[in-house]
Amino acid sequence: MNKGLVEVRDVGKVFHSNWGSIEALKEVNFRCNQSEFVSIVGASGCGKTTLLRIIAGLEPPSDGEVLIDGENIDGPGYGRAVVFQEPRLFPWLTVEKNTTLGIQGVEKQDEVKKIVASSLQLVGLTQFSKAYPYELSGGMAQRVSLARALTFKPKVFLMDEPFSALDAQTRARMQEEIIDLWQKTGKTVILVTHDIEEALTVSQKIMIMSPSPGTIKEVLEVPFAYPRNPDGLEFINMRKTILEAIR
Amino acid sequence: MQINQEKTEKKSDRHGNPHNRIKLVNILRGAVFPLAVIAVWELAARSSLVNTYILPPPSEILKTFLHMLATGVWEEHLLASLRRLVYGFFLTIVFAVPMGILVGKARGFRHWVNPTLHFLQQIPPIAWIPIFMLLLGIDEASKVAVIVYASFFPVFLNTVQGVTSVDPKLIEVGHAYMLSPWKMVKKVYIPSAAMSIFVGLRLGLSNCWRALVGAELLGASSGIGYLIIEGRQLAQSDKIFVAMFTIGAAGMLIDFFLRKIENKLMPWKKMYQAGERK
Repeated sequence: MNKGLVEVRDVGKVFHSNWGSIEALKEVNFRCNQSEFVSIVGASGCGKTTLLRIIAGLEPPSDGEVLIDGENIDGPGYGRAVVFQEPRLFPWLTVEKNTTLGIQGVEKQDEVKKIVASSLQLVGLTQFSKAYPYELSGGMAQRVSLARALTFKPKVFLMDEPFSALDAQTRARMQEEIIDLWQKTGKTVILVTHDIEEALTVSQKIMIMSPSPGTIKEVLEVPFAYPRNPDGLEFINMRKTILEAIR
Repeated sequence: MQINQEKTEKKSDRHGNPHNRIKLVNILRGAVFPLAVIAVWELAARSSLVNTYILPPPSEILKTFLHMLATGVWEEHLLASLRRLVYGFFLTIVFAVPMGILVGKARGFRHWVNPTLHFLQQIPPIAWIPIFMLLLGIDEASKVAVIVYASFFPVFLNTVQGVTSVDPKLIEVGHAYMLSPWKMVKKVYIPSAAMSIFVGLRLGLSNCWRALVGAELLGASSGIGYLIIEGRQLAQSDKIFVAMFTIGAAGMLIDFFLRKIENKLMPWKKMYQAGERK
């Protein structure tokens, strides 16, 4: 039972503040099939993070609904693991304990240990299990947050620009790893990014958002096989198309 | 591998020579001023520049101390004070920390209790002593009450402060990963507030110690504060000085150990404070 069908129906979001209201999202509609890797791209401020937070259940929509495998969501839930822009690790817990946080409903200690060990192995951090977050580099810390998301055993991964704070080399490596993880686990992934090349490198489908109010302007299938070649002519052409669409 | 190197570097930093030498030098630096004062004092007393009846030379005070130590008088009074301190401080922790967490988490609750707390905070514990004595008798209970009163506010207010300033991003992680309310308190609120709670504990403990001596000055038959009163009544200023030094030294030691415990419980603290928060 490895599902993970995400349906977003007529989702709108209005933020109210002292100086007025802002319509962040309007009539957002899309469908993300199970085991699909989808990216949401758009200029900053177009509401892509808000949309992801609504799917995560961290923010209620003002309008419309989000369904996971046909069920209406109401707040955060077990099916969805969020990877934030910053690693957001707990400074007082070791890598191992931070990873353990994602585990729910497993009572046996050796069972817990096994899950944590395998998650840390998947992200290549086995030897750092006893380290504290302050001892890790940015890329390692973000991998721990990935491991934490893995132990949560979600149907859907929701990632909010998880690599934007990393240097170019680390980012490229993390992108490879995320493709690898996705292929191994077969989970649905929704990735928010402002980096068009990143979206083209990792995802099967790209949703382009336009701002004020944020809405989905275009959905593109990425027809290339993995691993993708960023120097290929088709890749470059597609990047141009998306870039123009965002403008 | 990078991390292992970092770790060993840190270790050698902590236990190796250079660091220890700096530490030792700093301890010596800190000792210069008190030693100078004691030397001048000793000389002044010996050369009869001051009235030794009022200000006995440090050597004489040391002799009195050794005598009190030998006869067990010193330990008896110190233990009497420490026992009250432990009881009172324990009660404070039991009440102030959970209350602080509750008030810090239930934001609305603050408006109900804050004015009262800020009012009560203004009244020095010493001012309560007569009332506590009338209410609770002259025995241990009134002293413990003074201690609780003296330490409650710093511990409580710092706990509230710590809990209200928990990083909302980490709270969100807790929600996203469906942590139970209890786990949320245990894994997010308490560790996050721990540093602030410890600041409160240290402040509270030093407040305790001071209030206790005050309470013992006003009515007790044992304790370090009582020693001072006894010294005054018997015109034994050396005894008074022994008691005063004991108060200072014991307070310092207690704080030292509390800090040790703090560092042991929070190995991440130093880096966290250095702003390496991730």
